[in-house]
Amino acid sequence: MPEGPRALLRTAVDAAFTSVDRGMDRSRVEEAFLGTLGFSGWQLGNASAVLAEEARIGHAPVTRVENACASAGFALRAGARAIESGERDVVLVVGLEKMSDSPSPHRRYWLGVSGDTEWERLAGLTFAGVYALMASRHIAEYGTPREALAEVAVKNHANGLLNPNAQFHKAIDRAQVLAAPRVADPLGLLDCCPVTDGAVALLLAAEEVAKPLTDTPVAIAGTGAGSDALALQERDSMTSLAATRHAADEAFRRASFDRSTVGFLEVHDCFTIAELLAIEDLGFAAPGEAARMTLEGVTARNGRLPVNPDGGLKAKGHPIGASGASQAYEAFVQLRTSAGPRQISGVERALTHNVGGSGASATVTLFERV
Amino acid sequence: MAAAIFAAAVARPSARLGPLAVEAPDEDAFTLAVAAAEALPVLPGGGAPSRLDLVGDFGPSAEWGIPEALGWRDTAVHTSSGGPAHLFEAIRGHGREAAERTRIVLAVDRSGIGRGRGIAHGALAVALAIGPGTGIQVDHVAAHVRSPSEPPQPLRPEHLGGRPSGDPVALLLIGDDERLVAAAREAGGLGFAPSVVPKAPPGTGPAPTTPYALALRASDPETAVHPFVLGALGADRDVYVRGRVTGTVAWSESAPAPTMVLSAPPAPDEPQALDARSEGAYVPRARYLENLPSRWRLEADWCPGCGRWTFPVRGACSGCGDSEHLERRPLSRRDWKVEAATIVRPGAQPTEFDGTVALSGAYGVVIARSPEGPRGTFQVAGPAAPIELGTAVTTVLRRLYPMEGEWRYGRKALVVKSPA
Repeated sequence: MPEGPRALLRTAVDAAFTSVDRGMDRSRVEEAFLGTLGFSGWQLGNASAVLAEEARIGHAPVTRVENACASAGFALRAGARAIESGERDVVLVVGLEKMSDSPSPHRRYWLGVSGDTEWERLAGLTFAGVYALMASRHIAEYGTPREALAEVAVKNHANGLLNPNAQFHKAIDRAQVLAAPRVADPLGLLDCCPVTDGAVALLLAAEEVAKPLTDTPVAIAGTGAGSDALALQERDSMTSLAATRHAADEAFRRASFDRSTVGFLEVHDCFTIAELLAIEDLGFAAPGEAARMTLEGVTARNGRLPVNPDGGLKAKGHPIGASGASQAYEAFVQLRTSAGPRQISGVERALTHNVGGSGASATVTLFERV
Repeated sequence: MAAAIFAAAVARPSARLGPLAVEAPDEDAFTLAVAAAEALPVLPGGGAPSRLDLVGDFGPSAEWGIPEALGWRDTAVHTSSGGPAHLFEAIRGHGREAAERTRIVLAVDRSGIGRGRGIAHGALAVALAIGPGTGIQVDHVAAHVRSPSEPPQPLRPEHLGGRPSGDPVALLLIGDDERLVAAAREAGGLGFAPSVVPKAPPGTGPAPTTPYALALRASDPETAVHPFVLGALGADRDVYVRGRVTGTVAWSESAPAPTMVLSAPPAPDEPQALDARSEGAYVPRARYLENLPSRWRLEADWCPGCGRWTFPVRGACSGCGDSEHLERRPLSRRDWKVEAATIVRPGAQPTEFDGTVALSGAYGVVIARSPEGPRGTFQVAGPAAPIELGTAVTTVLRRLYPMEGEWRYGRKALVVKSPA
């Protein structure tokens, strides 16, 4: 029997508490933030109470954060700020989405919730179509080869092979990606992330509170977020997400390091083109240069700047409201050198990037070994 | 000064079913009427007409929808059923205002195959602009109802309000059956020069009313047909019209559409299909209606303070937030340039478009930039085909999908030429 949303929440929260090296009583959680879209209408508007029940955190307040696919990224940011402000010492951040138990027509209804329903959807677009429009423009402006998009999928599937939590454990090659049935030209089926169930729980604590709990905490070094017009037609650029640029600039302003020392990126690759846009908008490649980097292997797990070592949304899966937290989980395990066979050697700092809609909102979080 | 037709436009359906021109799945009488009206040259003074006569069945939302789509919100709308008598009565008009103000007559026909089952095909819409000045003038309309068993009425001078003055006089008859020929002979007794106009213009499919409007085209001043009599013999009534050609009429056609070839007649509008309800993300009727100025008329707000356009309109400038000094301006309906394009394949469409995909498969979607600057997102009308960026598109009002008991309409992009 497939696990329902409550079971997903319970499993993730239990695992988070179990992972605390020296253990922690649940009563120490002072507040929680839950990122979820509430896909298919599950417990619409009432998911916070369900988290409180399943996490067994007593009467601690829970705030649900809904920012489309960036829900968990924004929940994480809210949790981090609650601690940075001095208001809270221990915060639970959870991302949750249960998508697979809805029939296909319901999914297609719900996958459009986060887009511009008044204009883009009435023109016949779902997110595949919106990102396909961005891809067509990127190809026209920069000559981005179709092979570079395919290579994003190939690389992320290769990374997913080493991630036990990934939805796909299947290697693919460029020819397969290019020959896959088209979904929205130029994107094909293997350019698109899947429909995924998932929950992720993160325990955040103030530095002095965390130290007695573990010898290897991971610090949140900086958070940033940004917004943009909901519809692509109203943005200044169709090949660059201003929300991502704004979020990245803010996060690096708050952190004590710059881009040159970031060891790997976890970016929002809901479609292959999105990974190229992310690398450019986050400031790790000049506009139009991410394709070349990808084709040259720079972003592979053993490359100079690994991108999506956990398989990304493409292979790990994209449980909408949980993906931002799953990226933070990857940063956590990599920086604690506990990523197993997919461990990247020598990484000290990581960046995670979570996008809502087609770029209407974005978060960037910077992590650092303590 | 008498009123005359000074401009006219025709909109033909874009799909083919065998030899017949039929409506594409996203076309209907409403969309063809708007297309015909938009193909008219700009009205004198650039304003809206004082009166709009709708002749024929344009569907349930036409009476408010057509003026809304055309931006003629202060125009008095009058409706009548189809048929030549109503058409010519509308053209002639009544009273002093009819002679002095600019009016529009929109005529449409939907008829033909499968009619007994309620399926309508072969729509053809004609828009006629009428005002003081020269053109085609209708002076007298006579309609005689009779039992179908009675023979057609021989044409007599009193049918025409008296013997027409001036020579030569042409008698234009619609159709090509024996009765018409006989009637023409009878008319010849009045000293006219009879001629027969084909009943259905080639490629338009069967359409009983609009050929009468098209027949006026035959009364071109170049052919020196000045006073004319136009006769139509129906199953249960005969109609005779007397008029004069006093000047040139500018005829135009709506932009040619890519042809969609259908293998079977589209299903009629089933009430339960129109009654679709969304279960998730969709546009409720209130939002749909609220957005019509931008969705149908491409209206944008221009901010004199910061010089920025806001499209679609939302009551405030998207740049500075000013809501008091915005200038509402319609964007051009033509000459948009494609900046991004995709083809949405079956399975990737929002569920509202399941019917579209079932009927015609994949469809194109573009983001295009208007000549004024703002961009818009449009589905592409016609069969899906790759579109090169830079291609010029025009916009046409089409059906989008049924929801909450009605068809939702919006503008689609129509490819008119490849980039230079």
